[in-house]
Amino acid sequence: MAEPVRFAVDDRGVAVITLDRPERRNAINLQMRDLLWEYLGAAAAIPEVRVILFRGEGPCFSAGADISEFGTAPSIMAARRARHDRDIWWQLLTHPCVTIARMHGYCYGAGLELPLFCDLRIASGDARLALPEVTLAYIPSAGGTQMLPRIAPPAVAAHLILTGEPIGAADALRWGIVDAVVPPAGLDAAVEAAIERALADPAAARARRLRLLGAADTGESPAPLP
Amino acid sequence: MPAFADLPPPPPGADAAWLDDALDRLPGDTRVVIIAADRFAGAPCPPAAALRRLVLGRLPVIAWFERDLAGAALDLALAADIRVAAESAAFRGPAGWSERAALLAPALAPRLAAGERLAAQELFDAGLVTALRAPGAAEAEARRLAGVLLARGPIALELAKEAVWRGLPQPIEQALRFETDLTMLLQTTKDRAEGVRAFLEKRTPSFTGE
Repeated sequence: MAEPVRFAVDDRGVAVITLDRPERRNAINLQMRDLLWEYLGAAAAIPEVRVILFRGEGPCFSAGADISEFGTAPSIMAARRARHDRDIWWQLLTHPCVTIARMHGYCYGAGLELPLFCDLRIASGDARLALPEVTLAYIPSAGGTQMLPRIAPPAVAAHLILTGEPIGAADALRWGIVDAVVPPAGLDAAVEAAIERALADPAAARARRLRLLGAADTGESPAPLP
Repeated sequence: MPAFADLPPPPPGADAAWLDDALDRLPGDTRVVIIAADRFAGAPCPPAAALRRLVLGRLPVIAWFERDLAGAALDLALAADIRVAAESAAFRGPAGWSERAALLAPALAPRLAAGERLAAQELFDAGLVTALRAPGAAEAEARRLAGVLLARGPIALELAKEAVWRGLPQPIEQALRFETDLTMLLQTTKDRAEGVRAFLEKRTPSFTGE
């Protein structure tokens, strides 16, 4: 069976990481988290890789975490340790590459949180964004409660996190949750332009993330820990 | 039935302790607090410690307003988690609680401090107001949102609110671990198990707050 996350590097040094489980709206399961962990590590280890693009196969980026696997850890401590041992979110935040998210269709839950860790978020006009965890008596747990109030106005984050209701691409752009919105047919061209800009000036593309980390961009990897 | 409570405006002649008193007297089954901010025009300005109880307390707070807010009414609106405004509404600076204004909208805070009038559209664009409605329709939207919150798990709302307002001042590395630990705490609750079960069984969850 094909793996649900694909990884490919082109000759410009752009790694494309594709969520490829369209029959489940690219719901991110534990296997996919482990693959993301591996591929992010690989991208950091290959010196030629300078940009990572995240994309989703099919009609949406990702509808979120795979809820059918919730609560399957043997204990709370095991769940907590697994989380810290495979912390793809910290890996993203400190990654030496410029990271870009190509967002279309549903970007819900973890499908929004993963882009929130990226340097650039390019959205299609058909993108729908939500952190719906509270509808299941849960809270965003892939960084959403901390990244969203640091990227968007905190009151926007509070509204989305407390209500769980979705917003469209225009609202996301107004509040700075995404950096650009283009018609669906123009999404690939807009992403390509963002990749070219990132390759030309990676420091500029990473500046916002490094400010958030409180770290100076020395261009050296790994990124410094606070 | 879980309920929302409207924050009662202070009686005539009340002193600055009125907000603490009102919060102490909220009905025990209150799950969401609604503030009709227009009704607090001219109220004594509560101390920041009382306003902080709204931000750091366990209950989500929704404020709605149709008119220009100043003084205590403005501070109360700033203390809410969610602000709903009619297009006719505005903030009239300065806010008493300037730190909160600076946290929520750093770009607008200096203008508010200078005493400017900031119209609802501008507040919406800055994300200070997150629902903008035609004149006369703000209250209905606030009550709709209160209904949405009542359908959510109360413990999840309590921890989500804590994650946002207590996480924001932390360095990002600690903040992310804080979120993880709140998540782990939630995994011990009946509501969380019910949420997952209801999702898998494709039915509406029934939360008890346990």
